Amino acid sequence: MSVAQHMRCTHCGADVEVASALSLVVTCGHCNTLLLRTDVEPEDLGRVALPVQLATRFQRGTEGTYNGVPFTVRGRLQLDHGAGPWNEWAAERADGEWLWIAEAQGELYVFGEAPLTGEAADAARGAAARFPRDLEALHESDLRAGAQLRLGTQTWLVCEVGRGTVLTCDGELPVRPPVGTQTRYVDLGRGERSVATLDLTRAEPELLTGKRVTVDELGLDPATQPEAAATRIEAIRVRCPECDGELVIHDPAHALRVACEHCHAILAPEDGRGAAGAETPPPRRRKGGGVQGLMAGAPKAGPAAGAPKGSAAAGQRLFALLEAQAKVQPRSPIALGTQGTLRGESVTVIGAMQRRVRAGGTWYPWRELLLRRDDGGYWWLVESAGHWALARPIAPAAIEATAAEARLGQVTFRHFTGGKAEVHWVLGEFYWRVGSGDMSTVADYVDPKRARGVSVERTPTELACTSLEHLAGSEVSAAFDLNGALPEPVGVGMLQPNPSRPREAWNVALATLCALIMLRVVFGAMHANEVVYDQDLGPAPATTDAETIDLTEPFELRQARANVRIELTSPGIAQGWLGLTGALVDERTGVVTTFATEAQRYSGVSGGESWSEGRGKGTTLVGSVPSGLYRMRLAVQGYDSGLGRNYHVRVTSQVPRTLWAFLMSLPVALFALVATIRWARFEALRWRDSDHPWGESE
Amino acid sequence: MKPKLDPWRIALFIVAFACLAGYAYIEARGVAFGGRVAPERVTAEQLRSSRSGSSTFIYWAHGSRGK
Repeated sequence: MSVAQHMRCTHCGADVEVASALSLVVTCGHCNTLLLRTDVEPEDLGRVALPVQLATRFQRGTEGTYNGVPFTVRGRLQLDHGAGPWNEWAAERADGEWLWIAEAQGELYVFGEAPLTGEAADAARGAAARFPRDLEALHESDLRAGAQLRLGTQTWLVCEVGRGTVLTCDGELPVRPPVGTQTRYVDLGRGERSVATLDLTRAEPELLTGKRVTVDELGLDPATQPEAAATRIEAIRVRCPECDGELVIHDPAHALRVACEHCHAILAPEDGRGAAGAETPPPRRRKGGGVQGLMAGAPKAGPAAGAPKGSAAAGQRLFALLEAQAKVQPRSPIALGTQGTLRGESVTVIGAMQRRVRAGGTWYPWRELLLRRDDGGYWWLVESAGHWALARPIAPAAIEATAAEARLGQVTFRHFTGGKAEVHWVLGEFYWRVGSGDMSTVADYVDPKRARGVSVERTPTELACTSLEHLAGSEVSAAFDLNGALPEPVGVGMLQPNPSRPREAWNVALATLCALIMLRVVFGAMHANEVVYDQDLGPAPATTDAETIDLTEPFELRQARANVRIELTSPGIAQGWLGLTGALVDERTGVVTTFATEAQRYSGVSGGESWSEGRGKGTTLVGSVPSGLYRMRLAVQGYDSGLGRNYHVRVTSQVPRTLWAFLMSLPVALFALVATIRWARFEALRWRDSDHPWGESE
Repeated sequence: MKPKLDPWRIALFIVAFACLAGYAYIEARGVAFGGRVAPERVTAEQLRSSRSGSSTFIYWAHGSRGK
């Protein structure tokens, strides 16, 4: 690493340490004067504002390793695209190159400058030429959010189009920052992690490309990071200019709109950044941590930087009345300022809004609570008819969405609802210029099996996507220690897990049947299935009022408590029946077990068709017969056209029950069938409120 | 992902286990739904003398059938 140099501030004369030999400008830590390094005395570029205190993982001197190359953070820019300020840190790599690390709403992005040549440069110039003077006209432009932009061989998704401001800077930078200058940018995305910013501020477009990274990928040295306490921003208390009620602003650096909890008036900060009528249209919510980079447009020479607007310290910001919400009664399902731990993250409810879509003359409202994480990022809690979902921002380019479905990675989500969503009311603070009546196009896609979904929202200037995850009311209640004081869910939620899982039930039913078959095989091998008596007897009586009695020879049943099958067959029977009333008599104990069966056979011709009934055979199974020496008493009655037929009796011990192996699988199959019916009813209720209700042709 | 043992899944596995246990019981204990043990024991003489129309326990056990 470089050996520190020193120079004297031309404004205040203080000693200024310069750690990098490659930095172009450095900020005096005493008087905030921006100094341009030259061969002789540094040139005074004017004073810049103190950066707004933001939650951050970096400071000057923070060291890390990215892609195997060590780097040291030298300085930062603080920028604002209308959604509150954020930091872009300039890091000098060990090989002399510079990285830009952007921190936006809890996400981290690493950028490097990418040369624009050939077709890519032509395409970038074309984009600059199409950049509208009025961003409201973007919906007619092919540069609008959601459009594809081809730069050379690469096709990018336009995620955001807008104007921004470089607010201030500190430390050492490799470029001369255009502090206070309004910039024009197009944020681009490709896939889940690739991002780029096309800066159209200057005559010649410039491109920064990079990717979203995790903290771990930066290999930060904790010893060089700021103290943990410095990453937490203190709340401030202000008075509502409309009702004089006290308001607690939890995220003062980013609060561009505050809706008073007492009188519901919507307020804007008086420092100008959130004022009504600002040139940049209201950015939408759930910003996916878009690129936001501006350094490609930072002129390497130019006029001295002045103090930017909106640089007042966060704690001193005041708010002015912007809009009254007289006709609505905002009520947050969870009180603003409530802190909790959700999915392992410490969060604070700082804002609430009700949004709604109109379909078939009916408004369908839902509420969204803005959660601020301790690391500076934002989540959303979405509540609809008592059903909850956690919404987290994802890269828009990671989603391939059509009218019917959306793909995120390997998961496909089905379209559920879509339409023009209107902000009905707001309460609390927001990091963008929200107002009642704001509109955006929303499309929600679901994967009910995983209880997850994705939401794609777009305005002409911005495309924002969120992942949605079902939350049980009990989990929300526990996260914020609400003791169950939440609205009761009504109907079936969009992401609510279906309690019935027919596929799993059918799999278990099939597995049970297989196990039963295996058991049948095992018992088939264990059971003797032994014929213990097999005799021809008869003849049977020729008239129904007669009966013959036979006493058989003794036979032995060796297996205790085994079943016994008695089969009666009369092959000669043609037009009649044979009834057998029998008794198994244990010769040693005198215990009698009685049974009965009959054989019959009839046949004839009716209407030219021959028919027959019965097979001349009857079977009965006697259960749990004790072992012993047995004799049978057989009382036979019968009738067969006046003829007495011979008959045959066979007794088999320990008969395997194949039929019962199948019958015993029926309860599980019935369970699966009921699960299937319940699943279908649940899904029909879920999709009833969608754009694709079951049973309706599309 | 580790499957959760929720009540629905517990019920499913109880039913499946009951089916397997039920079948094993039927096979092991020789359960069948035919046959009936008469209320009295019979001697060899009674057995031999039992005839149609008599009121021996064998006919009693079968009710009116065979009379």
